[in-house]
Amino acid sequence: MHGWRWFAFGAIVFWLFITVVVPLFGITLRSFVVTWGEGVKLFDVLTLDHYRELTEYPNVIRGILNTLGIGVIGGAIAVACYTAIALAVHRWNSGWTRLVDYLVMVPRAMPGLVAGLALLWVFLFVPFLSPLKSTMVSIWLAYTIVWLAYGMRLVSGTLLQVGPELEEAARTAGANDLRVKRDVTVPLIKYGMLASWLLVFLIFVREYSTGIYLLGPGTEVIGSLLVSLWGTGAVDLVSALSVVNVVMIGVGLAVAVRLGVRLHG
Amino acid sequence: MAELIVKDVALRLGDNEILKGVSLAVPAGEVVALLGPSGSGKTTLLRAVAGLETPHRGSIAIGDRVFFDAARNIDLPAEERGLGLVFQSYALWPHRTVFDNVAYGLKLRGVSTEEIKRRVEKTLSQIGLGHLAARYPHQLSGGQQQRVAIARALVYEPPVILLDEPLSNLDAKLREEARAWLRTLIVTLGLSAIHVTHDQVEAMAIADRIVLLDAGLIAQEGPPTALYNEPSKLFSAEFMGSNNRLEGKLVENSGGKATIEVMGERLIGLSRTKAAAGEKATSVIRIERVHCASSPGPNRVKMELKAPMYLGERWELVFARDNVTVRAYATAPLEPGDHFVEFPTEALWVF
Repeated sequence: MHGWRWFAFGAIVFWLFITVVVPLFGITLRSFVVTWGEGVKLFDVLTLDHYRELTEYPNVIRGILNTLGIGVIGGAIAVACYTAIALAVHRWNSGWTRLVDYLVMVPRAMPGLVAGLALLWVFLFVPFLSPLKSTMVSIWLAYTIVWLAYGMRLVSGTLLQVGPELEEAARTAGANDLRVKRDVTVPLIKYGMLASWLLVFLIFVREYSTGIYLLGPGTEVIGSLLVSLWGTGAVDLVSALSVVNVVMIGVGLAVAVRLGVRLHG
Repeated sequence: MAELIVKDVALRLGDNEILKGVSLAVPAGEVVALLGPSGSGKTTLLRAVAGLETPHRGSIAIGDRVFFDAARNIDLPAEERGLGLVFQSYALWPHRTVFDNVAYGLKLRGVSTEEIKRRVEKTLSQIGLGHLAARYPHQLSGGQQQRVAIARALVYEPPVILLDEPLSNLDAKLREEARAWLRTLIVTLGLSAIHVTHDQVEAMAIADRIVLLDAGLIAQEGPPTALYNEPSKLFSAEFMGSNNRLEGKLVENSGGKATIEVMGERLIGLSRTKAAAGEKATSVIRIERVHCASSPGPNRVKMELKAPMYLGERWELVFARDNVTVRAYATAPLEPGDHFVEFPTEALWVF
């Protein structure tokens, strides 16, 4: 009677096995062995050398720290910016609101790689910005712009859940627009902003394409390092660094699930 | 305190003309009920007074403080009008305690901490919630939340308090108690208020004056007794009270009396129409003004008793004849069969 359910369940498990478990296991395994292939006995080639090797490259260490920083701190500042924009157009009934809605979609139309290149030139040619080119500020700006549409969706989704009467009640009590936002709207979307922060963290830690053109001493992130290391044929480093990245994302996901964040908010 | 004056306010929401030119006055110390069916514009008018909707015509002012004047391009934002507004949903801030909810209006006015404490405590004890100051709104019952919402709007002593169906979220029993409580509070504190409601009994109980709205225009206004006893239009006659409606043909209309032919019989009522004999007319009589008699007589119609219903404090009788149904009240049930139903002239309005 419920046979088809078991069949569907089995199909999903099989699908997850092929698409998630096998690749993750493969990468993890590769990071702990010297080599693999036909005729290689895996127990004979087990090693921790690749991880030791990671610590010998200052740019890799910086990359890991930068990635954590851009996820945690950069993510928080990005959410603050998204919230500011969302609040500015919140309950503002005019054509400008719709214009902003379309404008924030524009970066979405640009591949991260292209956006990264465009920002590289911006940082190269705009005089007062050029000192920031080789700092994480450039990476942060690029990420924040590329993920603007997504971040705005997250924040305005939470804003929509604030009943208009709660804000109107504050206005009639004598609060101007700014006070209403500070005293009523923002406190009420606190948890939504926290959830957005976690989701943006997960995205920023995973992001690779946007940072490639901006990659340089000081602006290393795991994503772009993986691409450039692969180019040099450093398979050992790439697999070990990948595992580090997956662990960071895994921890973020665990915190998110723990806090009951809806991942597809 | 001065009088709140609304002059010829018209307001559109989208393509809908919600208010089509409404004028009213709320003298200091008076409670005005905005009464009407849903969609009549009563809540919109209240929100326009509060500054939450913008009319495209007319003016709103308290004394010489102009809140809104389309002709002079004045539109004072809601926060500068200093009115108290109680929402139908109460709209208490869930992240603040009862005390902080009530204190907010004073905090915004820069009142000192001790003074805030004193005044919030005084207001909370006036509404009987002094012991709940530390609770959060979700820890209160519906009736308590409603009182907090009223306290929040009263604490900074606004010249006029605006109430948007404040009792409609309470269940029937509680609503009657809250109605008596609110009327007592208003009288004790000498408040000026606009009270929006769709419940005619509530409007009559709470208000000194009723403004009856119909599709964005005032159908009739006056003290509750005038609206109930002297309706000027069919709409107000039917909106107030519980009624019997008898449609027929006008036989005569002169000298303030009108004769209408219903069920083949002639009834004489008070004329509320300018129609001439021969035209169609509608007569309305309150259920409680219909009598049952045992013998024929003027303004009496023989009808068959269909269904006596026991309502506790009285009986409701349903009479029928030729597809016309008439309801009446009685202190005791009558025998089934034919009876003479009397429609007293002074209680029968012909429109």
